[in-house]
Amino acid sequence: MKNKLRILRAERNWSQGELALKLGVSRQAINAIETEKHDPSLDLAFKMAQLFQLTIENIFDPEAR
Amino acid sequence: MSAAHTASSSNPLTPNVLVRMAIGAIVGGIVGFGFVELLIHMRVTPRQLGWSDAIALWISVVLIALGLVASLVSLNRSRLAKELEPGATLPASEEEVLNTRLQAAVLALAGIMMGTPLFAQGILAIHPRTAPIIFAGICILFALQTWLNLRLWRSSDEFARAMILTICALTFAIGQGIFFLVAAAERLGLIHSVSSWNIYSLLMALYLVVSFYLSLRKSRC
Repeated sequence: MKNKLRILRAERNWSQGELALKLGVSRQAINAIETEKHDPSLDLAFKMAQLFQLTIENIFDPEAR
Repeated sequence: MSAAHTASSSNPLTPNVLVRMAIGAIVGGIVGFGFVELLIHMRVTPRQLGWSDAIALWISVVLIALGLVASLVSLNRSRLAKELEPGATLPASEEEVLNTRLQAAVLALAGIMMGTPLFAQGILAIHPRTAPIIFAGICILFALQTWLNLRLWRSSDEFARAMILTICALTFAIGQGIFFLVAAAERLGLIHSVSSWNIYSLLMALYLVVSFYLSLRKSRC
């Protein structure tokens, strides 16, 4: 699913490892989500929204697959 | 996201990856051939390897080698971090080191278990009554590997679990199709009976191919 994770991460100057640590997942998971090879669970999507203080729709765009 | 990155992620078989695969195949072929020749010279395996023995031996060597490489990489946290995330600035965490070592142990144990029935042929030729002892050893290794696999599953995140489940599902879907055709042909008397060793060797080979393919598709290369 298309998403703005890479942009949001870059804006905060975080590495994939740092973001992974904050979300409690692996670096590979962050990379897979950023490259649209893995759709996160609802639980992880909420965690991301909370971390970036955005709504899920502001991070993910299900229409633009 | 850049166009170059999009192109690279949609097609994992970039020229760089293909060259690395070709070099790996050549080196693997030479090492594998040398290894089998050495085993035959040592009379550890039967002079004439069956096709399933050859597959099992190949899988065994690959798994043990992968396990060794993974444990070596886990010794250096910076190196491990760069393997997980090119350009990583932070060293690998305790959890990442532990997970890599668990994976290494699971791989190496799987390789040892797969190779033991073959390596044991040399011992069985001299001491035929040792088969139950060797089998007991395999059972202990199996129990240990199952426990490590469960620990690995419990410590995995959703992405790793999704990968494991997809690999298992794809292996089952393809495997059941192949084995149905083989079983039907066997029942109709068109082919000779296939042993469980034959089937297991094929299943593990399929599992490795599927794992490799999905890792390539889902990884950053």
